[in-house]
Amino acid sequence: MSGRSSFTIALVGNPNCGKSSIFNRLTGLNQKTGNFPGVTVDKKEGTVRLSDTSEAKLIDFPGAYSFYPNSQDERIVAQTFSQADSPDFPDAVVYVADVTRLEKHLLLFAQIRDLGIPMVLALNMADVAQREGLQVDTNTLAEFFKTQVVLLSGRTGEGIPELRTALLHVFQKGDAARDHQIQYELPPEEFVASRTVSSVISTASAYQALLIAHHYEWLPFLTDQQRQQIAAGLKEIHFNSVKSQVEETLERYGRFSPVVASALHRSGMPNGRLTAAMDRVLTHRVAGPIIFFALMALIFQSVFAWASYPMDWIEQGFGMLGSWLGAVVPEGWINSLITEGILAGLGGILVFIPQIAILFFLISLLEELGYMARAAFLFDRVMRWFGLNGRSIVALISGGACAIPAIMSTRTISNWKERLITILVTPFISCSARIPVYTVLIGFAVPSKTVAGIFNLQGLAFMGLYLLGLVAALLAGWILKTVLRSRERSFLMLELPQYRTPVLRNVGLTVWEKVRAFVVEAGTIIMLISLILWALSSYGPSDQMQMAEQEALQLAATQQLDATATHDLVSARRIEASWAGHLGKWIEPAIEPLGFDWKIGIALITSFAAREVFVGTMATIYSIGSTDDELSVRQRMAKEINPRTGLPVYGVATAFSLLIFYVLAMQCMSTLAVVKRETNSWKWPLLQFIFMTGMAYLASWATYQLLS
Amino acid sequence: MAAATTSFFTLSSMPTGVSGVVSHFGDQHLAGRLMAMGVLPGSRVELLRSAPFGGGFYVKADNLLLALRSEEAQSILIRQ
Repeated sequence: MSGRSSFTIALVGNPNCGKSSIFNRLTGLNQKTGNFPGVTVDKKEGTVRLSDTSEAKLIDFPGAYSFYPNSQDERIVAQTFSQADSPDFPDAVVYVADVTRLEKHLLLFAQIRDLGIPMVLALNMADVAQREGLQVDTNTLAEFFKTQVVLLSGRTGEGIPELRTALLHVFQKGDAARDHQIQYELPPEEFVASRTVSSVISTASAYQALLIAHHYEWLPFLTDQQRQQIAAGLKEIHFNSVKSQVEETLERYGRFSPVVASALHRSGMPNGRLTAAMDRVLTHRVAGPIIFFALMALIFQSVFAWASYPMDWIEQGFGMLGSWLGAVVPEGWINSLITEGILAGLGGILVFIPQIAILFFLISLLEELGYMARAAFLFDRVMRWFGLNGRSIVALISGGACAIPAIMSTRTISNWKERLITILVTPFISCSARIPVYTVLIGFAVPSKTVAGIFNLQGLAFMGLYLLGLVAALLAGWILKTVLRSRERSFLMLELPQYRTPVLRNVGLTVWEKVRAFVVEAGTIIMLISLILWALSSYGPSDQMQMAEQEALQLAATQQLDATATHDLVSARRIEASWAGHLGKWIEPAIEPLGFDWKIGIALITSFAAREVFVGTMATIYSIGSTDDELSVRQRMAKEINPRTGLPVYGVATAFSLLIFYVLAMQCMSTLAVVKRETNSWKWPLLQFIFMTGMAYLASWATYQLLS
Repeated sequence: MAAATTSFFTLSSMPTGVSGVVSHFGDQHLAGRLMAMGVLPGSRVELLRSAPFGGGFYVKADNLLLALRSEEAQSILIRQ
C-alpha cells in the first residue's frame, strides 16, 4: 500500500455513467472537495465504510473515455494513473459502466486493468436494464476480466451493499487481485517505446511506461531532464503516438467486444423512445432555441421570486442581531467592530445563500436531467462566432449565479483558447452579487410604471442589464477570438445522455457543496473586506478626525438636532475625514466625468473586492446604523444633493452610469483568484481586470455624457 | 482499392433519417476521440437532425447519441 496509512479507492468511469450517484451512495455527506496535486481540477473525496472496523478513502475522478485525454478533466485520470508514486495513485479501482451501453463503456476499464490495480467492475443502471429486458451474465465478464463484477443502481440503491462487500474483499485480499490477464500485449514498436521510458523513470508496469511515452510532453511529474531524455529516445525510434493510440483502441475493442456481446441478452428493445420524442422538440432548429430562452427566463424569474422571502428573513435577522448586540456590548470600538464590521460582513455573505441555492438547484436539475448537453449542441455554432465552444453555455448560464463555479465548469472544454475566452468573458454575465446593486439603483434610474399592460418598467430595466452583460460577454469573446492565436484544434464531439429523472439526492448534495464553498471561500474575502472597510472608515488622520467630530457636534448644537440626527451627522463627517474618505476624494477627479462623487468613489473602491459590498458601503457612508436596510439606504441616497449643482446626486444620468459600471466592471477578487488558479498565471486575470474595467469606464462615461 | 473508394461517403453528406455503417475515419486525431466514445468501424450511424444556425449534427451511433460538428461528421466515412 505504498506506505500510506489509508486505503485509497478510485471511482472511475465514462462521462454519464452515473458515477456521482454511486459516489453519493457510498459516502453520503461524508465528502469534501480538494485539489489534485499540481493541477486545479476539483477532487471530490469521501470516506466509505467497508465493514464495522474498516473504512477507505474514495476519490471521485472526472469522467473519462480513455487514457488519451481530450480535456483538462480527463487529463487528471491519465496523469494520476501514469504516476506510480502519485499521492492519489489508488490501491483499488471501482470502475462504473452503464450496463445499457456496456460495449461502449469498457475501453478505459481495459486500460486500467493493464496497470495491475485491483478492480471491481460496477455495472450501473441495473434498474433501467431490467425495464428494458436486458440481462447480463456477470460470471462471463468476471471470468474474462478476472475481476469482481457487481450489478447495481446508483438511482435505486440496489447492489450497493454488494459493492461494499466486493470492496472489502479487495481491501482484505490486497494484491491477490493482481493475478489478471493482460488485455493488450504491447506490439514491438510500443514495447520499445515503453522500454525507452522505463529506462528514464521507474514505472509499475510496461503499460504505464507506454502511457508516459504518449503523454510525456505535458505530464507535470516529469523533470525537464526526464522529458528531454524521453523525447530523444522516442524520436530515435520514430514513435507515432496518435497512430499507436488508434491501434491500441481498436485492438482493445476487438478483444472485449465479443465477450461483452456474449454476456448480454436482450429480450426487449432499448427504450430510447422518450428521449427521442423529447429531443425532437428540445433540439429542434426553431423550437429548441425558443424553449431554451423561455427556460432561462423562467429560471431567473423563479430565483428572484422565491429568494426574496428568505433574503428578507436573513436581513431582518441580522438587523435584530445587530441591534441586540449593539445594545448588549459596551459602547466603543469593539461594539463598532462587531456590529458594523463583522455583522455587516456576515450578513453580506449569508443574504446571498437563498439565490445561490435556488439557482444551483435549478441548474443542477437541468444538468442531472441531461439538458445541458442539448444546450451545448444547440448553440455550438453561435458560440464559435464569439470564440467560445458549445460547452461554454454551461459556464454562461451558471455565471448567472456566480462566476466562480461557472469558471470551474470550463474544464470540460478541450481547446485551450476556447476555454480561456470562456473564463475571461463569463464574469460579464450578471451574477447574483449584482442583484442588490441593481435593485437599489434602478429605483433612481427608472420609474416604477407599467407599460403595455403587463410589463413593469423596472423589471424590464433589470432584464436589460442582464442582456447588456450577455452582449458584452459575446463582444469581448469576439474581440479575444480575433486577437488570440491558437493552432490547437477545437472539438464539440459531445455525448447527449438519455434523459433521466433527476436524482434529488445528487441535486441536494450539489447545492449543499456549492453553498458551503461560497460561504467558506467567497465569504472569507467578503468578511476580510468588510473588516478593512470598517477600519478605513472608522479611522483616519487623528487630528482631522477629531476636528471633523467637533465641527459636527457644534453644527448639531446650533441646529438643535436630536440625538439620532447628531449621531448621523457626526458619523457622516467622520467618514469624510477617515482614510476611506481620503481615498474617495483621491479618486474623485477620475470618476467625476462618469457622474460619481467621492462617496460613490469609496463604494467603487470597496466594490472591487466584491460587488455586494456596495450597498453596505453606501449604508455606512450615509451613516445609517443598520447596513442591510436597502430602503433606507435608498431614501438617504435620494436626499443627497450635489453641493455644486444643487441637483440630486442620484439623478437618472448618474444612476444609469453607475448601473452600467456595475454590469461591466470586474469587481470580484474571488473571481480573479479563481481565474489565476485556472489559467496558472497572473497575466490573464490582470488582462481581464483591465479590459472589463476599461470597458465599464468608457461605457459609463458615454452614458453619463449622453444623459446629463 | 481505387474502385472501392467510390462507395464511401461522409456521414455529413448523408440525408437525415437514413442509417449506414462506419467504414473508417478520414482523420486520425478525430478517429481516436470518436472511437474512445464508442463510434467504431462497424458501428451503425444515422444523422437524426442538424443543429440550428448552421451548426453541427445530432447523430445516433449504435445506442449512443452524439452532437458532432460538421468537420467531425465529415471525418466519419460510411460504406453503403
